Amino acid sequence: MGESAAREESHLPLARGCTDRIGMLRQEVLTTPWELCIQRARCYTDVCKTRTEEPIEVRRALAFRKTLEETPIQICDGELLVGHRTSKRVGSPLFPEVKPAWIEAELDFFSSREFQRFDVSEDDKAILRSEVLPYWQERGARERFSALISPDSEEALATAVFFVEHEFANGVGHCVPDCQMVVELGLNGIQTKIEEQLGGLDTTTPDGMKKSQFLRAASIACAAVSRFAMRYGELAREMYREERDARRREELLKIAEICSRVPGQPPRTFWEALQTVWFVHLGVTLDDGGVAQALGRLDQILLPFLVADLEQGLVSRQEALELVECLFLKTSETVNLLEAIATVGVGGNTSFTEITIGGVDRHGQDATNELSFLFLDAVEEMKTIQPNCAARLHSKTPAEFRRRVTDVMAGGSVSLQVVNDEVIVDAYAKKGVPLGDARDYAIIGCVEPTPAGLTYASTDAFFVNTALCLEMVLGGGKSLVLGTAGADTGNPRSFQTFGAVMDAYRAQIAHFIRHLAICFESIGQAHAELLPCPFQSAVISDCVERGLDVKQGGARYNFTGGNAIGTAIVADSLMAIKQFVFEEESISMDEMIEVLQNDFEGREDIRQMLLNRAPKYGNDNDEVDEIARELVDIFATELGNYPSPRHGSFSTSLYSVTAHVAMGGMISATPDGRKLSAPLSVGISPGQGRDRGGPTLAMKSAAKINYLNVANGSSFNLKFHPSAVRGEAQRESFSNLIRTYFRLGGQQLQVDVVDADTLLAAQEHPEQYQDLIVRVAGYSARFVDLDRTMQDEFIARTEQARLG
Amino acid sequence: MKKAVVFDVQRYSVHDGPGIRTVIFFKGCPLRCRWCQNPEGLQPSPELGFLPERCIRSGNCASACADGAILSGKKRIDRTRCTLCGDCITTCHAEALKMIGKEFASDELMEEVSRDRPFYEDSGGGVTLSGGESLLQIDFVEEFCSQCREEGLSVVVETCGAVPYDSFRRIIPFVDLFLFDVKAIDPSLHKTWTGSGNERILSNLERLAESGVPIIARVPIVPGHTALPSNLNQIADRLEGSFPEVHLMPYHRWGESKIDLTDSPQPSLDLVAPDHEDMGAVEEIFARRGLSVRVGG
Repeated sequence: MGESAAREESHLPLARGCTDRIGMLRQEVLTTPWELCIQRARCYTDVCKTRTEEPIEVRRALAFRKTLEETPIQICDGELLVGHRTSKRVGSPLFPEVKPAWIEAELDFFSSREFQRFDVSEDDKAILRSEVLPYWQERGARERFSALISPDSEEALATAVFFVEHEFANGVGHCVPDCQMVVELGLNGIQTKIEEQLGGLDTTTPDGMKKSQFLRAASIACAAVSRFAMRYGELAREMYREERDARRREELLKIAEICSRVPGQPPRTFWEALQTVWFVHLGVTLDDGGVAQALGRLDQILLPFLVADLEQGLVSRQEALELVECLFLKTSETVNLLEAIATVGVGGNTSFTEITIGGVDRHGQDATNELSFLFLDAVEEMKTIQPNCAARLHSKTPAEFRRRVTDVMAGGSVSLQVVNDEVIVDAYAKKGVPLGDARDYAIIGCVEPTPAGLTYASTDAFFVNTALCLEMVLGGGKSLVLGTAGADTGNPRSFQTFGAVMDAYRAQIAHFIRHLAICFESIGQAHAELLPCPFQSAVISDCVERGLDVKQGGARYNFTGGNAIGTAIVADSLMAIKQFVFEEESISMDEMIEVLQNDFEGREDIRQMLLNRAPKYGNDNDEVDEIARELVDIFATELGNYPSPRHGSFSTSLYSVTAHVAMGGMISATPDGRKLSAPLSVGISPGQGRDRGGPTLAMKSAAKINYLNVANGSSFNLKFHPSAVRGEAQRESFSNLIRTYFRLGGQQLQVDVVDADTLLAAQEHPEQYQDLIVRVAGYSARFVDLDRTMQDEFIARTEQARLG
Repeated sequence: MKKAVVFDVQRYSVHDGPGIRTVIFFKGCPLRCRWCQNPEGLQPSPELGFLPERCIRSGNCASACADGAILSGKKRIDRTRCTLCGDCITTCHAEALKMIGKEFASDELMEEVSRDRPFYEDSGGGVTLSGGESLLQIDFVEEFCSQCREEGLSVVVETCGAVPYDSFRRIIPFVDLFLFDVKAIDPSLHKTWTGSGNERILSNLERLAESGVPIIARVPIVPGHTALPSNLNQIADRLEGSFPEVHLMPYHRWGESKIDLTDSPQPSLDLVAPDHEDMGAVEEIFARRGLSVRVGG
């Protein structure tokens, strides 16, 4: 997602320009209370209890089928695309087999907790407590991981330097299915492929036997999804008979026809193709409950259908847009019930469904098309958090498309981001992915690129608190606040050079990444043994050909991606140590550690010196930018020392969602002047308010990071006051700003065109908003330096500007 | 080596000429417009500024000041005693005290603006000289503009026009566009509002136009002042024919925020800024004469 999209849907502006149907659906989807549906949990529990004779793959396929057969279904008024993930309009299923412990503990609070409330009936709670949860108590995958982990890695995990729970947040999620294959073959075609594979197997060998079990499971799962769609077809036909409105009767008949065909058979029209994509998504997200199951390059996959329909007059551009908007609203209906701890700050965004548009094709030619523009229209009109939309740009992107993308961004669509093809394709080429596959990447989740349809990506598997690693250097191998232990890197007071500090930092990173890699061996094993995903495996290449589940390495590419958190804060901190302790000697290491331990109590002047008198990342200062670059390289190099699960490799990313808040919350003050518990920096953005030179210099700093080492993506955020992006000439400059940033080697960008709330926050915390760009002709000032009355006036006018 | 006194270098400026520009604010201005948006730029020499919101009351400044010029309270600086030595600034890590106006050699300024060169290239932007009035420092400005021309950087000059025409003449070969302020046609009104007559300004405008260099007229729209319909009609009449492009710059109060930054004699105007509707009416006055109008630059 756009990281800045972490706000509640209720704050979103109203949709503009869309049809009445879409306006009504949007209103309903955004205002319907979220509910928990226990159907899936009951079906999985029942099958797993009773069908113990079957191998795990088949058991899960049967449970999947039972869920799709028995979950009550509905077609809502006005819907053109149909299919819900649960029996509820806006609902979440449960995945007790992944990590049951928290469900039991939090069950009574789902409807009253602070963020992301879900209604659940007392009857359902009773069923969960009697039938479901007791069975899984000691059978969950997370429990398996606990049993497998070695004591010293468990100790390293307990320091909270690194966090690996995401693969247990209902599942792994974070993949792109091969929808291209599905629209070509239909699920029936994939089943035929499975049968052919089965026919060619030598089941006299253990390997062949194992493969046959997987293939049988995949076949059951494919058939289950096709049949699930047909239930909708039958329902539509029943509703058609009851319906009196002539126009709606026609639509229901159409829906009936479509759902009796796809996704079993290949789609023939744009409408059918969209419905196919949606059923595949529902299947994938019921197989594995992890967030961020992406939809992929829909403007590429769906284009031939749109072109043919337009030619034959089956659909107008306006009707096509309405169908796309129906898909957008469908993604807003799929919400995920997460552990309370995982909901803090995530706001209304709970499924992180991403669509990718634009970019080059497999041969490197520009592939921007009319559907790319259509998706932008939908982004602009819907202004919903879901889905996220990533626009791929490259040096030959048509200027018209780039400008349209940047206009929609400047208009305040926080769900839209831009990513740089050249940089991302090179990073995957460096990982050994052939150019064609690398060029066909799609974005997952927040910002993570991955070769589409061929990859078991797990792009959001871990977070490493690099600022805590620095804290452990300063604590001589222990954190200053919590006293937890890292590598023994010696007493920092005896360090004679800045190089010794860097060596110690590298040693801490190496120590924790080693344990992280060890943890993932166990996590991968737990998933492979307990959580195969037969349907997801059927729609990710080359699982069927290899006869292997995605969880066992069936995909063509396997990565496990995760984040270095706090890069800018650590770079700024190291820069301050270098300058003040080793070069100017204006403060001793001992004194530095003492003021940090005391959170600058009584030493605000020192804090201000650390904040203001040393260069900060984000201002195009080579010295500190070089440190930032080195930090990223150290992280990527250490990760590169270990294989990841499924015979894959680890992959570095630099985004933070909300982890920078949680991870900042547990660490001491830092040598850059950041106070105890304050948030860390966001993604690869400069520290909050540290980029005082405006967007151009911040971009120059960010472009110095070696993104060849950052294949798993990064997020770079800029805040603009509407005054800077309003007006035709200003919009063109904004577009060119982004063009230059990508030419300089930037990887990703999203912007926040601030609203009055942000400015109010800036009044309260001016230190964090030094970077806020306010632009009026011939006028020199920063927002935070205006006096209170003038700020108030600016705030009052900001809303006018945003809406004007 | 000539040096300039500059009080801000503002990057990613998008209302001060085409494309992405870096605006250099030169210190010192011959006019005293009542609505001045950069009052800290009026005096030609550096001044000590104080931002009370930033002050952490460390007391470092008082200890550092050999002249006893640090007062308690919001004003903080006893300007009768201050010698502008800058010792207090060195000790003020919170940056509550800062020097408004710093000396730059032409090369130094070139280095500053060159950092944004890639952004100028893609956007058709460059450097904009603003202030204050940059042409008061014409010796420096001539050298700097010629250096920009050598470096292939586009130069836009924002000017109030109240300087000898010779200053224009010297830089015309290096300037891509002048943004020329036109505030009033009636000399007495001009004197009332800006402290100075406008004969030279209007004559400079005519002569500059004869040189053929591109000019956009900029008219500040200040309620109760320049925004008087009679004044606007006179301006529009004057521009019609010779100056097809006009930027209308709506008054705003944000400059008043900076009045206390220095010991500026500028009183607060405290007017209500024109709204969208007001500006539409003003726009119409110019548009109906066939002028191409843009609001806000």
